[in-house]
Amino acid sequence: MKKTIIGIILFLLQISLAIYFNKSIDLTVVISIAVITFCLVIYNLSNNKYSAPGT
Amino acid sequence: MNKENIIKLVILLSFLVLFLQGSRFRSEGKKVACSEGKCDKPHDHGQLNYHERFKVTPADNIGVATLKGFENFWEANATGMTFALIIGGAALSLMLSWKKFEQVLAFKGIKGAALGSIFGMPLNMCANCSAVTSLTLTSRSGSSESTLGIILGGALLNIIGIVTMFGLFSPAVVVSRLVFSAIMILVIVPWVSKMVLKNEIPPLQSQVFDKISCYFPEKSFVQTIIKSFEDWLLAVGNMAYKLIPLMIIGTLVIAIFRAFFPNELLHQITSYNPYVIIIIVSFFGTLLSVPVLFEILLGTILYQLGFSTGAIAAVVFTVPSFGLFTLVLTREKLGGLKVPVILTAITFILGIGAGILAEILTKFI
Repeated sequence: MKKTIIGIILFLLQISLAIYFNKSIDLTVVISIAVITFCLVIYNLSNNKYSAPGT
Repeated sequence: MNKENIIKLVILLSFLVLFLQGSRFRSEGKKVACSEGKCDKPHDHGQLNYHERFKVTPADNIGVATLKGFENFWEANATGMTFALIIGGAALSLMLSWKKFEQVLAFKGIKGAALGSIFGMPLNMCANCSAVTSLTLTSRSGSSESTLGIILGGALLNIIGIVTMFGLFSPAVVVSRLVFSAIMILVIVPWVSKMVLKNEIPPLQSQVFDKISCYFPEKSFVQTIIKSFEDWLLAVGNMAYKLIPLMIIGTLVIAIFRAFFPNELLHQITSYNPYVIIIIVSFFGTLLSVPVLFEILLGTILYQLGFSTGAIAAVVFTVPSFGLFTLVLTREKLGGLKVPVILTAITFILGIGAGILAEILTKFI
């Protein structure tokens, strides 16, 4: 899961860079969805929702 | 098909429509205008894209030229590559929960390559970006034929590119590109994929993927939508961790190549024998990777310099096809460097074939 979180942060950096370069509306829509979803993922992670069964 | 799969399919199609309508069609429209000579800044066309932030000049040393080329290439591909991850993640998330889609992507031989190329066509991406989508989608399962079919379908069967070429070049160039694209996808891809079977590494296993494919019928519609977006982001994160470093390496390799082989080199070979020119241009085009439709601008540069139809056909086939960037990205999926290197060599040979066919066709069309 740690690698996935790093991957999501890398993706958010990449999308921010693309918005900086092109100022496109479509990417702004996607980053809004991604940030909200990322907050949800972090919330679930802090509640051990992603732990393997039995651990 | 359960409601989770329907929602994931809608998310995938929505991302694709958002990309095409929001960025890609507009960008391709501007590129077509540039290729047709209707551009506001015709002298501002760069080495790797139509308009670049950092102009690479002959006075730049190799280090500076590489750095400038790296930034220009990353910027040129920024939207495409970001959407490649977004669309690829949505497709992977769908595939993990919809077994029939997974079965389609596992088709082998000509069927797998042809179906892959049909999936690749609507992406409107260059080989670099379609490689990111393709590798994300087929990371867990999926045949080599599907992976390569998506990459080449996206790059070679771009409808806007083909229509634009009809308006700019001799029909011989377009016919040659279509014929050799078909040979590449329907003959070469199934053939080289057989070599992958011997060395194929096990598919990527990740515990995160196990959290994506579970379906809970008791969840409400809204809960399923939220779960689908969560699955999408987990799939994107998983692949971004793996692919973004490779994308950086691929971009660096291209920037180094461009520092040693700038476009100006083409100006020095105009007096050579046409068939020698086709060989040189095929070599140059094979090792070069550029954003979508830039091959058309390179074709118009050759046209303005007085090159033959064959040289133009060679460049418009080899430049968007398999190259250095895709070689770096597909190495792991294709079981090592052997198959990507063979594919690159075949692209070079087919590029020469495309050039020779265009030269022959010019006499009849």
